[in-house]
Amino acid sequence: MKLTTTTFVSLDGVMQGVGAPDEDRRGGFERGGWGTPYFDDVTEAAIGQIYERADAFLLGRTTYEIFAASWGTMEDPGGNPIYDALNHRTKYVASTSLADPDWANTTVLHGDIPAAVRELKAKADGELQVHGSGKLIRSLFDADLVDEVTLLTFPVVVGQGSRLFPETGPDKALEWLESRALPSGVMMQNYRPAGRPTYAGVPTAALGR
Amino acid sequence: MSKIVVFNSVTLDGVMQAPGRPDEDRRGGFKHGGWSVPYANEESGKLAAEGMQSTGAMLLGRRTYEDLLTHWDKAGGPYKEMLNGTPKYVVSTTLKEPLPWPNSSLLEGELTKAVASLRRKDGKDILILGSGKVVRKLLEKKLVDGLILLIHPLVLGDGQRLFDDGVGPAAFELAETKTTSTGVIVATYRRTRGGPKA
Repeated sequence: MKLTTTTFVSLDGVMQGVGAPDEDRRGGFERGGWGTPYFDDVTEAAIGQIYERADAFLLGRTTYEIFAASWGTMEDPGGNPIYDALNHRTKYVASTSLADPDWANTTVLHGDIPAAVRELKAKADGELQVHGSGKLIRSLFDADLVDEVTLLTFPVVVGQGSRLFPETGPDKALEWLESRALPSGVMMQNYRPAGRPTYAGVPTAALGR
Repeated sequence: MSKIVVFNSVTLDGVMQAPGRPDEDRRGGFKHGGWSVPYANEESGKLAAEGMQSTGAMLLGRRTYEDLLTHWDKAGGPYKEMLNGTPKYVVSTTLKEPLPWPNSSLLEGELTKAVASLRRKDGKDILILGSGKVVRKLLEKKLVDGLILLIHPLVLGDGQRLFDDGVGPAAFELAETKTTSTGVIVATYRRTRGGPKA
């Protein structure tokens, strides 16, 4: 399977609490719901198209629980690609603590997550999509398991909250594949991970990192 | 009104430190100076120049001012002429006039008051290059009207970021995007009235 990540981020790289004020208040985050003014028809349709492509989902525990409480609990609105995809396709959850998940079509992955994901990727075709799940995404990057990165950059500076890319971490080069500016001001960007960057032509090995 | 426009190269993780040269800014032990160089080409140079077309003046922090002066003055060429010809306001408590670069003056008084007053005058855009400290202060006080970001396709995991915690919240509209052949997205944002709608 091809592993793709899709992350909604603000202009300053925040990914926490995009959907609602109470979605994720960890760390005293008070600015949740910063994405909602931008979910117009075109943006929703673009997001729906991403979800439609998924053959399965891979989520960290926090995102899984946020989705379970919303998409997994609401009544079927009918014809909503996000609702349909999340409810009817398999959701793999990377968690050491989640037991007896309520949401249908859920499989919990225990133990060595990179190994489990490697196995998932090898045994089936199609697209395994990761949404939210910052911690999980970072560990997947570190294990070189990500095939494609999609960012939806919202035209807003939030000023607090956890970011997809923390202040210290590994450096990565990416190959730009495509971008699209949506009328809402959200910018969709697609990249493929491409190893380590070179710095002004100096081979990274020479920098001793 | 003269709009305050921030123009910067940034990485995907928002780092703005030392895009141009390995020794440009080694503060904090930053080892990745010159990260934008492999992506620079004629196209990005042209887009940068276009972005600067409606510039009437520049506002620069001391470090950026001195760095631009040293580097572009030595390097010469069309950038040197453009930079020489453009009025430059410099934010510094240590530099004394007369300043070494043609068309430069120290910004008088407290930064945000002085910028607010510049902004009230009618005129072309006031462009800020680099100058992270100045930019963050102005963002905090909601004095930034536009952003032109050259978003490079890499993550550094180190270095000073353009946006720190404590700025914002602020809402912008995406006015334009263009991507160069090396995958650098040139994105132009304009401040919307009245702050974020949420």
